[in-house]
Amino acid sequence: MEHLAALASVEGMTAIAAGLILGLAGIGAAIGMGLMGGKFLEGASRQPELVPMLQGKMFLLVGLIDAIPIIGVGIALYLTFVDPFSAKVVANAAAAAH
Amino acid sequence: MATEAEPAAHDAGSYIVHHLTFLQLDLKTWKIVEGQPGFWILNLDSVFFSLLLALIYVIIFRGAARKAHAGVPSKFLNFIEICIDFVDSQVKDAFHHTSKFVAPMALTVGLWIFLMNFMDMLPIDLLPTIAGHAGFEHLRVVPSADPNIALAMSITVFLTAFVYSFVNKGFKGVGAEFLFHPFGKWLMPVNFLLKCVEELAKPISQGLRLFGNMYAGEIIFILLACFTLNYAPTSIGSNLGFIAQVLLATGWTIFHILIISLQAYIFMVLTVVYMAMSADHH
Repeated sequence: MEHLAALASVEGMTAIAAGLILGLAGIGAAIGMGLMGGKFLEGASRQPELVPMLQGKMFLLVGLIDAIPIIGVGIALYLTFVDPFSAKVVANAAAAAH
Repeated sequence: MATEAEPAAHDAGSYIVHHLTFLQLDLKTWKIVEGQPGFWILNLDSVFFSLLLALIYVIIFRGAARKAHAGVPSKFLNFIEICIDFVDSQVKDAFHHTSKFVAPMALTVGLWIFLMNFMDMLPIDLLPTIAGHAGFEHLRVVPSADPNIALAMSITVFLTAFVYSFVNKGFKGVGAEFLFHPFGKWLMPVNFLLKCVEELAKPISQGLRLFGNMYAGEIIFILLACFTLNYAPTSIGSNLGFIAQVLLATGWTIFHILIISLQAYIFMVLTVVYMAMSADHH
């Protein structure tokens, strides 16, 4: 019975962790993109002839800014669907029962 | 789908885990295993697909190199020249020294990674089902969604840039960079530590960026299939589900075309930038 309580606790914590990862990643990516996009539009309005070059560099920066948030999304989805922590709890409970 | 015929209990979790399991070869016992961690376990499917795509790339570009002539190019040669010009302009932008191998390396890295990412455009159950009939239970077809492959490419780029910095700056130059920047010579351990962190962050971020994007994209494909094709208790009914699957998967695939091209481009530009940084004198 205590194993069930332990398992439920671990699964709840995993869910909270995944939610935190996704939320904070979203905040970081959104604020970063917003700032960069604003600067890009400002620069484009000052010198419209530079727009193709700036756009190329902007897409490069999109990829760089998005890197850590998307790694976080990958880890959060991994935690949600391939529950490694509860798998460990189940394995330990099975080992302790023998 | 082949999985609907299985009598065993089949739910969303196991479908997802099934699609995330590598076909692995245990190098100690030479047996096909699945789902094991360990140093002596080779992800056979990632290695196979990455080598196959490298072979395709080499055959196409070597054929183009042999056919190249100075007159008006054919359509195929035109396309190859567009690719090469694109990479050349990126290299010229970022790399201000002369080198014979940086641009070909950038071309190879960019196009190989694009081909590996492109495997994500195929339907997720297509190749695994074919492999299932051939006897392989698990198959992951996107090599760049394997952290081993992504980090292998970025670590190779890092080692190439590291050796290149020795070739360009000599042992004294590299030593000076490690020991005397950014603080003066009285803080050598701090300088060394900071420089090590900066150097290590490059391959890790480059590889994990590629891996994270591809892995997240693949998981979303799997989730879309899972929740529309009746593998989860919250599905809407199999007929409606198929229409939903076609619509949602098409939408996500179109967005993913941008992502795969962007990630290959970013990896290539970062390769060139790291090579340029290792050739820079201060």
